[in-house]
Formats: sequence, structure tokens, C-alpha cells
Amino acid sequence: MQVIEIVVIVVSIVFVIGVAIWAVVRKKQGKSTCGCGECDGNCAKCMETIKKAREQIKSNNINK
Amino acid sequence: MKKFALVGNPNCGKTTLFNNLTGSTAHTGNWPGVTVDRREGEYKKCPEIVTIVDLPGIYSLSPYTPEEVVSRNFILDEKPDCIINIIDATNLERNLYLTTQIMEIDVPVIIALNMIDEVKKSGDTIDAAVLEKKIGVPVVAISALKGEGTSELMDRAYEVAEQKREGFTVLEQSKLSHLINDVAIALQGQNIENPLFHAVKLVESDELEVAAHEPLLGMIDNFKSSFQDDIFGVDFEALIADGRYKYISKNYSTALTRNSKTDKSKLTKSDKIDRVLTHRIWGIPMFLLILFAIFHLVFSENFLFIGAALGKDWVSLPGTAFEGVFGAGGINSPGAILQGLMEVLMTWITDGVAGWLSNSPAWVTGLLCDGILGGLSSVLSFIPQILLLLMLFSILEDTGYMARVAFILDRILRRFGLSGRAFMPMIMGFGCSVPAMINTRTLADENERVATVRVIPFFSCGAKLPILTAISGGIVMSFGIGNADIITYSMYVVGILTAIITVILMKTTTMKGDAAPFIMELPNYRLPQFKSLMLLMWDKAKHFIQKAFTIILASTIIIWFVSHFSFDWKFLEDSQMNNSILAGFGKLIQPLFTPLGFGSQLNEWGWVFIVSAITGLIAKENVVATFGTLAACIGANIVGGGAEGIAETALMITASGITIPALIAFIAFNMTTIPCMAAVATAKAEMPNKKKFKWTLFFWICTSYIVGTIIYLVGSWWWTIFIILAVVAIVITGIILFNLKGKKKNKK
Repeated sequence: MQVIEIVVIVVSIVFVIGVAIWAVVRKKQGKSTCGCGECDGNCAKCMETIKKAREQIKSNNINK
Repeated sequence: MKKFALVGNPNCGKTTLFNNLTGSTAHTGNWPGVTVDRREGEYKKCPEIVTIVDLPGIYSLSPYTPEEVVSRNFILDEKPDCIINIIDATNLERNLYLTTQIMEIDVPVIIALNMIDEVKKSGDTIDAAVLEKKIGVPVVAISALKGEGTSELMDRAYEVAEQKREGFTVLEQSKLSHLINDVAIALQGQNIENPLFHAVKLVESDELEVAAHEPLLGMIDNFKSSFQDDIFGVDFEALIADGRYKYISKNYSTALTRNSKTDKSKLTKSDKIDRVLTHRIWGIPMFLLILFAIFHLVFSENFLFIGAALGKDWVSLPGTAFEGVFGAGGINSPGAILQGLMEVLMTWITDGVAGWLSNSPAWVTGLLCDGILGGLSSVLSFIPQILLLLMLFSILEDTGYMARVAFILDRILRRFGLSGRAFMPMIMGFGCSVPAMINTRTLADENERVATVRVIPFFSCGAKLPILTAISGGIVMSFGIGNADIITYSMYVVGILTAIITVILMKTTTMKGDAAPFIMELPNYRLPQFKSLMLLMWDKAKHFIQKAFTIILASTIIIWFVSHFSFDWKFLEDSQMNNSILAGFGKLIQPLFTPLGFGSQLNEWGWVFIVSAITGLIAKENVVATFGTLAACIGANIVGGGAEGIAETALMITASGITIPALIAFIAFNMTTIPCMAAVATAKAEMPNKKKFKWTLFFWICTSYIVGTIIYLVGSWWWTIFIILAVVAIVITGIILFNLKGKKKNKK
């Protein structure tokens, strides 16, 4: 096996694993991997805020 | 660190000011309701760093939708050091209604009189000093778009934030003043913060306040029982609103001097344009025509249809590196020329890398050139077209035209239980489904919100664009028929029609209910700002490239490996890829797609279409990237050479023996099936419960399968249209009978 073959295999594996970890970390941060550049609104902070707002609306029957 | 909140009516320029102060590039648009969540940034030019919080727009502090609740909760619970109340100076009276409510809170307030340049342009004048004196809080005239007056605004805001301020109500001079004061004193006795604000809201019977102060309701009702108005009776909400508006028009509006030369009976420019664009009959055809013009500009290979008139391929530049870039027969549209140039660049890079690796083992060259570069170039070559399309959509949004389209469509959507407001997130779906789904928070009705989230993926996002472009270009190249722009445009229309039909089905069966009232202020027509358009393009390009060099690149590596190894882990040459792990998986599920035309009827390379569609579930660009990776490998065995961009798809079409109806069904399937992982996660978050989310996944799978099957059947055998129409008639009759039965039951 030539050096370049080993390098290509190692780099490929490291890159794929790296991207998977990066995607998970971004998800935890509430950032999207969709590429739109917007926060995907799924981070704990955003979800908690919107959940509270919805519950307030529901419990007060504002939409009746 | 101090915290300043940007509060104001929808579409008054809060996010534009936020971007200006913090250097952010948050999405702005000329329509109300762009911002649905709070957003934070830093302003560094004050003596200390100030956190700026951009909040969703609100008309009053009595909220009806989740994003309005977010704004109110922030103002009351998180106690900002200063509220910057942004006012649209072109609509002073209506904007001041919110100001009168904010002033009742015990928090420092400053008013930013935005769009003052537009007021000056119209010949009117607003005396900020007079307004400041009358309101009793600092007023600074600014133009957030041009950055005028923003430094002064922040300097004064910082000064204001250093001082304490007690709430004040304009209702003090109204008949209600005694009642409000009595309630406020009672609340003060209970050590409740912002007693004046809560007192007014309790008198108003604001539902959030009533729920929060339940023990005090008996006492308040007691106060209210002695009050009776001659006009409004005991409708305290109307009475308070009337009191506020009366005060505003009597006191504050005097700061505004109208241009005496303006003839009010004459139509404004905006009105004249609206007469054409929002016409009852011509409004929708006009919208479709504008949409077609955009697609023609971006995708056409026969720009302005002058190819036949020219009668010779004088633009094809045969024998050069740019052969076909500017046209072949007809002239290419600007979008198609840019895409062609990008393909030339990618071919040049791939050839260079192949030359550099000429002494390396064959599999290394295969992985780097065919696998990685083949996959990447197939996606990257479409960047110019994606950016151009998004820029043109953004121009429509910034001018204020999209808000008009929502207004036109309200008439149609209302009949099916959706309001025109639901159209705005749908339109955002043309850019990306994720922010579009989040924007559904502006819809007050839960059923409307769920139905809108479900149909948003049918509005093709930027990531689906390479699929449309590659396949439609492939059809033109392989079969020599049609125009790529007409195919692409038709597929967008198919997406919109699918959305409308499925919404009708949902709203007449499982999600019955009337549409929420639709009141939307039509924004003034404005010229889009060059700087904000360029920032948008840069932002989109940056994120697209980031995605290409992370998720797409990783996917192409995995795809190359699983397409070059067999189940017993032996390395396979390109010609043996039919025995690979990927081929085995594709062939296993291929029969499922036979009704859609890209199943068992295809020849040995047909599995490529299946695995492409499956990899698209991670990110939609993967569909074309998989084509690119596999076509680059297969190309050498079938036509004796590789290809780039659209040529890769044409190669796969030839290799698999797929027909035109099956290709159209393939596009439709990818457009309407489960979107990318990010969009699925957002849909899950926006659904009210898990059950609805599971039904949403089922809905996407069923819709894509049915739409794909119908297109393939009708395209292959035209007479099947009669069978499909008969089935549709039976379904409609069934729904009508079912509804009639329900109505009879209700009557009983």
C-alpha cells in the first residue's frame, strides 16, 4: 500500500467522523445544518420560550 | 452589561435597525411578520457593550399569536434596561397606539422615529422636539436603512437607561382614570410590579392578565360594576382603545404637518401600481407571469425565445473551452450562462487534479476525481442559478409585492379554510423550509399552522433547485425536446398546486374550521437596497458552500465507498458497481417505485435513481451529488468518458433507460417527499404533539407517492387521466356526503 493510499483512507475517515460530530454539536447549539443560515429555532432556549407562549395561549383560550 | 429591547409594530424596521446596530445579517423583508423569535446582538459603541434584543412585531401588548406573546413576556419578565420603541414615521398615529401602552410600564423608553427620510420625501414634516415634549420621553428621528441618526439614538438610549422611569398612562384624562387608579393602588398594595400597566390590562379584561391575577378579580369586578359609558356600555376594551386614539389624535398628531400641496383625491404611485398588480381578475395571472419571467431569466437555454429567429448557432463557440456556455442554437439566459461558466471551472479543476494524480493508484484517482469532485461539482455548478433565483425572489419581497400576492391569494385560500397570511411562510419556503416552518408561528389558528407546515416542503427550496435544474436540463439534452425553464417553472407550479389540493383535502376532512380573519397592512412599495441584496447573496452562498464542503462532501465519500465495495468487503472496479453494497440496497427497494416509473422497469443502472432519492433525505443537494459521484464512475463504462453538471444527469438517463414521464415523476417525488433532516426536525418542533408529527411524515410519503404515480401514469398513457378523474370525483363525492351527514347529525 502506497503512502498516498493510507493518507486518503485516514483523511476520509477522520473527515466523515468530524462532520458527524460537527452536525451533532450544531444541533445541540440550536443551529441548523440546512444551510439557510438561520437558527432553526430548536435550541433549548427557543423551544422553552415558544412552549411557554403556546401554553399561555392555550390555557387562556385566546383563540376561541 | 445593559440590555436594550427593540419593540414596535410589524414591518416598522426593527430588524433593519438591529442589523445596522449589531452588524448582523438577519433576514429582513417588506412585509409584517418576518421576525418570529427574539434575536440578540451586541452594540459596542456605548461606554459599555450593550445587548440589543430584536423582538417580533406587535400591534399592542394584548397578544394573540405565540410570537406576540414572546415579545410581551420579554418586556415584562426580563426587564430590559431600556425599550427602544421604533415607530414607522409614515404611519404615526397607528404606531403610537403601542407606544401609549409601553409608556405604562416602569421602564426607561426612547422613541426611534424611523423612515423619516420617506416622510421628508413625501413633503410632510414631523417635529421630533414637539413630539418629545408632548410624549415626555426622548424622540430621535432616524433612517435605519441608511444608518442616519442611529448613533444619536444609541447615545440617548444609554443616557435614558441610567435613569429610573415610572409608568404613565394617557388614559389619565379619560373617564376611566378613577377606575384605573383604584385598581393600580390595589395592585401596588400587593407589591405587584408595573401596577399601572397591569391595572389598565385588568380593566380591559386582557385574558393573560385575568388568568395571572385571578384572586383579585372579585375586587376589580366590584370597581367596574359602578361604571357605565353612554356609547360603549361596559365594553372596556373598546373604551380604552377609544381613549388612547382620542388622546393620540388630539395631542401627538399635532407634531405632524402634512404637505399642503398634496392632492389627497389623487392616487399615489403605490395605489396606481396596486390597481394593476392586485386586480381582482388579472392579479393571479400577473403573478404567474412574473414567476415565469423569473424562471426564464434564470434557467432558459433559449432566452427571449429568439433562438429560432437567429437560425444558426453563432453563440456556441465550437471547439473552445466555452462551447455551449453562451448558447447552442438559442442564447442562454444569464442564469444558464453563469451555470455554464461554473461547469467550465469545475471541469478545469477536475482535469487538473486528475493530471496531478496520474501516477497514483486507480482507486485514489477514482475517489478524489469521480467520487468527491464529481459529486461536489454537480452541486456547486448550480450555485449561480440558486443565488440568482433567490435574489429575484428577494427583490419581489423587498419591493412589497409578495405581501400583495398574499392579499390576492387570500380570496382563494379563504374558501379552503386558510388565510392569505399562510401564504407568507409558504413563499419563504422557496428559500428554505426551515425558517418558513418557524414563521408559521404567526398563524393564530393551530389547524392552519399544522396544515401550512405540512405543505411548505412542496414549495421547492434552494436545495431542491439542483434536482430540478439537473433533471430538466438532462431531459433537454437527452431527448432534445422542450425548454429547461418551462419544465422547471411547471414543476414549481405542480408543487404549488399539490400544496393547494392537499390543504383543501385536509381542511375538508380532518382539519375543519373557518380561516382566521386576515388583516395585513400592505407595505409601501420600496426599491430594494443593493447592499441588503448583496448581503443576502453572500450569506446564502457562504452557507451553501459550507454545506457542500461538510455534509455533501462527507456523503460523497460514503457513497463512493459503499458503491465500490461488495457485501463481502471486496473492492470493486467501476464496471463492477452493480454488485456493490449501494446497488444491493437500491435494487432491494427498487420495485416499490415501479408505479412511479423509476422502479423495476429500468435497466441495470436504474438503482442509481433510488439511492439518489434516499440520500436526499439527509440534504436535498445529495440527490444530484449522488448522481454526480456515480455518473462520473459509470460514465467511463457507458459512453467512454466523464461529464460535469447537467451532462452527468444526461449520462445517467441514457444508462438507465428512464423515460420522460418517469423523470418528471422523479422530480415531483423529490419535491413532495419527506424534506431534509433539518426541516423534519423543525416540523417536529413546530407540531403541537407527536401524533401530528407522525401523521405529517405519513402525509409527505403518501403525497409524494401519489403525485409521482399520477404524473407517470398520465405521462405514459394519456387515457389514464380519465381513470384518475373518476377516482377524484368519487373522493370528492365521498367527502361531500360525509360532510352532509355530519351537518345533519349536528342539526339533530
